[in-house]
Amino acid sequence: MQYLLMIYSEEGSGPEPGSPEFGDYMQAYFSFTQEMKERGLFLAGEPLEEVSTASTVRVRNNQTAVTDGPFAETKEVLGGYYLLDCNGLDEALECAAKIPTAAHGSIEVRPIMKLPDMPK
Amino acid sequence: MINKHQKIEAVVREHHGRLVAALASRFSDLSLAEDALQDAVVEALANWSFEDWPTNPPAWLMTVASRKAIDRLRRQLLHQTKIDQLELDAECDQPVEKSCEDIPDHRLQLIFACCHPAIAEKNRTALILKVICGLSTEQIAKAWLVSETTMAQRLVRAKNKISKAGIPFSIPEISQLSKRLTGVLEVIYLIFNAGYQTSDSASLVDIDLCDEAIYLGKLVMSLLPDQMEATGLVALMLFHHSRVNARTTAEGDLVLMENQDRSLWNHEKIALADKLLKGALMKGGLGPYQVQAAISAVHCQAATFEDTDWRQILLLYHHLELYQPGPVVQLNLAVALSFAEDPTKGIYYLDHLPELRKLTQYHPYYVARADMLRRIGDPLAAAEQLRMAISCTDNKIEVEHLRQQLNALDSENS
Repeated sequence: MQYLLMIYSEEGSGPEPGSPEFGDYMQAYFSFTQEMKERGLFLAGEPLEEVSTASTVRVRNNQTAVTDGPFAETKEVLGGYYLLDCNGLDEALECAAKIPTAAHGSIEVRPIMKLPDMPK
Repeated sequence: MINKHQKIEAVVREHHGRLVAALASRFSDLSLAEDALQDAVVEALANWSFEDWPTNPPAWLMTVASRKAIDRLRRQLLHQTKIDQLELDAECDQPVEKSCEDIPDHRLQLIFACCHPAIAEKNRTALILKVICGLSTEQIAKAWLVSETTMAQRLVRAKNKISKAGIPFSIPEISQLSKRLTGVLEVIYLIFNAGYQTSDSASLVDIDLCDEAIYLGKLVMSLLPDQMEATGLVALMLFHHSRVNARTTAEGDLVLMENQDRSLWNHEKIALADKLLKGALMKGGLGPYQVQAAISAVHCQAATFEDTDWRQILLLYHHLELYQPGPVVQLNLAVALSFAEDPTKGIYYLDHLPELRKLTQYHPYYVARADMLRRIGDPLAAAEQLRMAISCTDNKIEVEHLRQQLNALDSENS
C-alpha cells in the first residue's frame, strides 16, 4: 500500500542551519532516505520551500482566485514529504517515527486512495 | 421455551468473534465479513428448523457466509471490471468447513486490529464489542449512553480506518507485542470500568459490560497464554466483579468496602481469580495488572475490614507506583498508609505530593482526605472536604452517597 508521509513542523523549530546540530539533522535525513531505498519502500520524497513561497488556488463560479500563503493559518506547516510503498499501516508508522522532524514536529500518515481502473 | 429465532441468535452470539475474524482474514475486509455473516444468518432463519438443525451450526454459517461474501464481491466487480472474475471462481472451490475446529482462529489478529492505536480510543471499545462479542449497535449505543446513529457512525468510521489505512490483521511482531498488548488490555479494562460504573443502573441496560470485558480478557488470556499481564487483568476484573452484589443496597445506594456484607461477595469468582493470579506470579513477567490484582486479592482475603493486611497493600502500592507513577496511584498509597500506620501520615503524604494540583478536580481525593480527617477526630474539616468532593462529581449515586456521609458528620458536629 502507498502512504504519503507529510512532515509538519513550526518553521524555525528545527536546528539552526550552519550549526553542528543541523549537520547531524541532515545526516539523519540522508540515512533515513537511504534506509527507505534499501528496504524498497521509497517512491518519492522531497523537502518543500518555506511556507512564505506558497500560493493557494481556488476556483469559484469559474473564476480562479490566487492568494498568497497556505490555505489555513497554522503554526505547523508542511515542510516536505515521503511517498512510500509499505506493507500496511504498521510499517508506515514505523517509518514515520524515524523521520528526524518527528522529534520536534509531527508526521501525518495518509494512505493513497486507490482509484478503480478506468475502462480502456 | 426459546424459539428458533432466539436459538439461532445464541449460536451467532457464541461464535460471532471467531466467524467474523475468519471471514475478515480470508477476504481482508471487515465490513464485508460482517455483512456476509448477516446474510448467512438470514439464510439460517429461513432454512433451519428444530427438526432439521445443522450438525455443526458455526461451520454451516462459515460456509454460507463465505459464499455470500463471494456473491457480494462479484456484484461489486460487475460495476467495476471483470478481470478478477476467474480468481473468484477459483475461490469458490474452497473447502467446506465440517466442524468448528476447521474454522481458522484469527480472533487474536482481529482483536489487535480493533485495538490499534491509530483508531480513536472510544471507537476501539465499540468496535471490539461489535465484532468480537457480537453485540448489536443498539446495545453498544445504550451501554455508552449515545444515540444509535452516533454509535453507527463511530463503527463505520473505525472500520473504514482499518480498511483504508491498511491496519493489518496480524499479531504484532515480538518487539511490538508487549506494547500493543498493553493497548488491548487497556481497551478491555475500559469496557469493564464502564460496566462497573453503570452496574447500579443495570436494569436499564440489557447487557453487562463487565461480563463482556471478562469474556474478552479470558479470550486474550487463552490465545496468549505466555503473557501474564492478560491473566493478571482477568484476575483483577474477577476480584472486582466478585463484590458487585455487595457494593449497592437494594435502593441503589453505594456501600463502601468498609461496610459491605462480605458474605455477598462471590467466593467462586474470588477463588478463580486467586488461582489465576498465583499461576501468573509463579510464571514471572510481572506488570501493573498483576500488582493491582494482588491488591484486590489482599482485600478479598480479609474476613472483615479490620482484618485487612494494610501493610501488604501499602507495599503493593509502592510497587504499583513504579509502573504507574502519578497522583492517582499515590492517592491510593496515601489511603493504604493511613490505615497501615496512621491517618496523620496519610495526610502528610498527600500534602507533600509534587503533583497535588492534578487531584484538585478528582473527587476521590477529597473523599480520602475527609475520611482521614474524620478518623483523626476533626469532623469539621472532614465535612469541608466532603463538600469539595460533591462539587467535583456529576454521578448522582455518588453525590447521594456523599450527602449521606455529610449529614452524618454534620449531626456529629452540631
